[in-house]
Amino acid sequence: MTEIAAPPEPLPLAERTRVLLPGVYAWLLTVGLPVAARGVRSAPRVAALAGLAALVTSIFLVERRPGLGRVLGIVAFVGCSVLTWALLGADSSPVHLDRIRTALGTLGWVLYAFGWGRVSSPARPDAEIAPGAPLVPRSRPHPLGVPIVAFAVLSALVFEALAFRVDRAEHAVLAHATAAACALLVLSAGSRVALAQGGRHELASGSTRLNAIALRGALLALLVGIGLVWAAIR
Amino acid sequence: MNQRAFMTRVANVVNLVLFVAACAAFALGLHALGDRRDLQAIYFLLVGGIALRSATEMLRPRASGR
Repeated sequence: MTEIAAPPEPLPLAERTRVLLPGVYAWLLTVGLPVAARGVRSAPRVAALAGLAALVTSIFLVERRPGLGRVLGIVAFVGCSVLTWALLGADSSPVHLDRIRTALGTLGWVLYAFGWGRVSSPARPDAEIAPGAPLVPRSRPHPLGVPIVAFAVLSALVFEALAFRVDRAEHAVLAHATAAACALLVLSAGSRVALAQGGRHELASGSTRLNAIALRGALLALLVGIGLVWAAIR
Repeated sequence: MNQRAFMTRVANVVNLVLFVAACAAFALGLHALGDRRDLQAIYFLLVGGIALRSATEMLRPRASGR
């Protein structure tokens, strides 16, 4: 006796919203508004509308035809958006873009990517990463750990936001690259600083740690001194 | 509090101060770049880099004795 394959479960409304809303939000801020400006040719507008149509269609296809749904929702949507920006030409340069809107649009694209990640790998309640009892942490984190990590995350976001203030085209690329590098370094260092609080046994003694940065500390003091003199002279 | 614990606490505070200073310097550098003050931007980014390197240098694990 052959079993009839069960029809695929419909995608819950929350899942649809999680994918559709950030996508439409990012599209509206970074694609829809630039093509809606006066004087824009019809080709970018057609490409932009095709991208939006692909995104909306993908939400209804992804439960029955997941492959096609992802192609439409990710490849076609992102491809049409890139094509729109390319067709816009000089109108999409950083000089003509509103910084706040661009920063919010970037956030929308990040949320859109997370939404598709959730749809592509649905949570299975019976799945276990490691069989057996849940693992118990060997020690509790220091109370300062969470504020330090939160500060590092906040700093990384501030760096990314500050990069949008740079309006010179060549410098803007440098600023974004620098901001991304600084954000990654601060996130990495912040997590290590947070873990080091509370005096872990693996670390060297306090005096050894202080001696290790003597040279760099002197260089830092020299630089700060030069900066203060420079500020006083100006 | 014995001297060893005191020095560990001092090292942790210095570590934290260097980390916060590095974050502030990076932010000031990017802010200066936005205001077209390129030399100041380079200065702050350099200070931030050295401060962050010092902060992570302090977190090296203890050398294992043989």
